[in-house]
Amino acid sequence: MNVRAIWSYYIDINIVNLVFSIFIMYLLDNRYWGIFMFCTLGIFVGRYAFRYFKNNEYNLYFNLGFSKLKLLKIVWILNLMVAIPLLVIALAI
Amino acid sequence: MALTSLSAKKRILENIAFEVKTGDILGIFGRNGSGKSTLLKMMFGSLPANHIQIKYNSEIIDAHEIIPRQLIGYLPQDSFLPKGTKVRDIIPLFCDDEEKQNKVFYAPGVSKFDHTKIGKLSMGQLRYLETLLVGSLDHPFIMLDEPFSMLEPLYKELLKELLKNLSKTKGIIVTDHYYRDVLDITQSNFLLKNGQKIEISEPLDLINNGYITSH
Repeated sequence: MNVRAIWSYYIDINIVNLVFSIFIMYLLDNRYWGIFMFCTLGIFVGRYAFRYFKNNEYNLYFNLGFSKLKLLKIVWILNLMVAIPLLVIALAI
Repeated sequence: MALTSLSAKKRILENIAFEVKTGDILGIFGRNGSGKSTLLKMMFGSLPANHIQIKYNSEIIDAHEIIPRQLIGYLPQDSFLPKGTKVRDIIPLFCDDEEKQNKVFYAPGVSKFDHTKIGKLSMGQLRYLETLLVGSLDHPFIMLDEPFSMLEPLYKELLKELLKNLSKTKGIIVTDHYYRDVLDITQSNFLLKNGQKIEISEPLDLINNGYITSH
């Protein structure tokens, strides 16, 4: 598994995702919604932004053996791994 | 690897069949819009085709398997490297071990720009680097869409030498309007015209089929 490549894609997707999720969190005044968005709709918003601004960079990942679906699954699993502990902390506070 | 019976959604291409073996460099010519890039994208699996059959060592492969199985490396027409990243940080993405990284780092001409960001490279430097990186992959085949585009003469010669060396261990498909450069390195060629494949054995065939007016 090419960790460097995954990290590069993960950061690109989640910069937009994070902005979107924080915006939703403040809009609804609910931190749980922010965490929920981070591992659901926010990923698709980030993916849409990547496709809009950096579509040709997908060829980099294709060459390294990552299909779009595989990249999406990886980002989703990693975000779940971040979101679940965050949710536990949010519930505990 | 063999490709048989292929048609695109808009019927850009129909019944194109060819074979590429390790050691081969195949040239594909065609006017703008003739379907060269479409053909490569369909083979790579990044563009759906109505029907495509790819054989790899007698095994029929679905085009969607090409990327996960890392069978074909692909140099697209437009740059695909992240512009804000330095050249020296991109190389390890493609080459996991140090020996391979050094081959790219110490390839002729690369040391001149290895500290430069991708977005600051000249078009020629970028094209040369991208071809080097795609060539450094372990994939048994590579497809290059306009690798000679915007290259200065010095880099063209380096690229030709690189492709000849790569062909010892890979099968290569090249498509480019710089037909002289392509003809210099290929063993077989064809022209795409009106969705059909026309064999090209000498530059005169390109004139006779209306791709160029004179050699």
